[in-house]
Amino acid sequence: MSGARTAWLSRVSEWLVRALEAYTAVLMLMLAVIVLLGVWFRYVVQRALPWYDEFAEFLLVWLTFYGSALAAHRGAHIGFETLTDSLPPAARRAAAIFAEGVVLFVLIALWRYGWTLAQAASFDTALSIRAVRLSWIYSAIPLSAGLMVLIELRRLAALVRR
Amino acid sequence: MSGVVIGLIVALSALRVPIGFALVAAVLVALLAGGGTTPAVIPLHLFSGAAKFPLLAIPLFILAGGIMSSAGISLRIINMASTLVGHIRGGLGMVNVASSMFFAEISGSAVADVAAIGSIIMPAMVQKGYPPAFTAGLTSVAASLAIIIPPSIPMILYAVIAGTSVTRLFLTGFAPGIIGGLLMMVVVYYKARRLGFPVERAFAARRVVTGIRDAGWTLLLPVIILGGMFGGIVTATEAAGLAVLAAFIIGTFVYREMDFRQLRALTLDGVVQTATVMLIVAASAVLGWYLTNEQVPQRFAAAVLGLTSNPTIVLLLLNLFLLVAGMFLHSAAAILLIVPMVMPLVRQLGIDATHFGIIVTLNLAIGQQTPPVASVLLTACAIAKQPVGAVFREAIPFIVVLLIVLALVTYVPIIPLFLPNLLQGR
Repeated sequence: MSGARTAWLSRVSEWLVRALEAYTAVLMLMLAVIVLLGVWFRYVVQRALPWYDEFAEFLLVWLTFYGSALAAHRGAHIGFETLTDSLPPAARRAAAIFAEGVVLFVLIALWRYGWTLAQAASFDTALSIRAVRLSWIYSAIPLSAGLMVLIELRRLAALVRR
Repeated sequence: MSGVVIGLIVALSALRVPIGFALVAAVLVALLAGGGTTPAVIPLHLFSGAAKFPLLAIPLFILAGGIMSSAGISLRIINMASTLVGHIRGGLGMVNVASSMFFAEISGSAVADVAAIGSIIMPAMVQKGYPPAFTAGLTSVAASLAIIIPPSIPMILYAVIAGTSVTRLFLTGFAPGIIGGLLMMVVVYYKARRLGFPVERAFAARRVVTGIRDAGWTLLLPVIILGGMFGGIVTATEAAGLAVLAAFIIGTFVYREMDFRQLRALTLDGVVQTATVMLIVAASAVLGWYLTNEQVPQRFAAAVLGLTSNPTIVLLLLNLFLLVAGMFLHSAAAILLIVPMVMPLVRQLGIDATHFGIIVTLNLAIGQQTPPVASVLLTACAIAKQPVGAVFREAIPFIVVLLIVLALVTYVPIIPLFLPNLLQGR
């Protein structure tokens, strides 16, 4: 029973990671394409794209936050390992569980206050394209934070079970 | 309260909380305890800290570097360098340094350089009888030229934080990078004479021509990146975009050494590398906002100026501080945490912000070589499968070269500033 449930859970999370990978790869490639479009329009079409810098910056923020979720899945976020690596195994495990707790505390706050921010910005729009609301853009913070909560909970569970 | 925040950051980081999360956690605790400001400012500053146009160059240079490494470009650079300096005693060691000097014009990351050049040249050197630890130490320090010679990701970070021109700071890197590279070759020559390292084939002008012809398309990359930027045609970010396009075209259509699987893997690696650096960028904007509100950088400047207002002594102290910080902090984190703190002091002393930028970059190039936190040295050790202690000992003479360059750049400002002053005026 529990075996079947874990198999189902790991299939869902596998699928989520695949989707996240495809999504962030597209963000990265779009970023390159937008910057190249900006150059193309300025020099070849000889008419600057008015939305180019602003939306390239938005893409970078999305890449930062959704990419952070992928980095969290791979355990790639930059940290200082020297001290914890020199601890005995039990203390190292305790420190790792504590660190996961701190990360979860930050993520839950980002999810909660990021949501507040996105709602507060629902009447603000992008400067270059008025139809785009800033709340859509800001949504990357609470959404990616929520995603990272799931990823970190899974890592925490693995740590506790070990 | 700001003392508590800084203490909390140090304590959390020591316990392996990732640096970006440790920064946000500390400010979050301060805001929740203080009760004045709503914590919703944290996501706001995270957002605005990351939404800066010059920072777009970071993912693009990372992506371009990834494409170039898997497109067979590094091998061609090494072959060309071999025809130029391979005939000198310690030839492959020379080739190693020359390849890194050339790769530096394409890549902005020393870790990318050590992976691209090192994974090819280190096995070749060991096979020719170079001691493995020496090989790894040399490759590691030579790779640091990647962030000294433009383009350079640490320089982009510095310029964004200090509010100076990326292009101008890039121009300061040529002279120190070339001096450093040549001095490293002198050290290799000295070692080679003493330990009897081999010579590659004799020099032949014909081979130089073939080497350059084989590298042909690769040589186009620095022309696009540097020419576009320093010719004032495109911004650093746009040059990075063009580099992605050029590397992609050369890799897929000219050399035909890249397939979809490779492209997918290197794009995802690029996403992760970008996000890990950019998360610290965003988080440091939150901390910067908090510390500026508390007037910490200004108070720090006043405290130092109360002790001495002699720029020579202050620069010496800043160098020592940056070198120690570089031992314990990842280079991006060091720039993002230290530069906002010391910038008011630097400005009040009348030190040129661009000059200080190359000083910071050199310090962090050294910091990437000095354990415990030594991203480049550890990458070299991992590729060469050599112990960190032995490699570090062999790297020391080359690190001394970087220290000499740092001293020259700090106290003879005309060395880094000659080129930008010449091309862009003061």
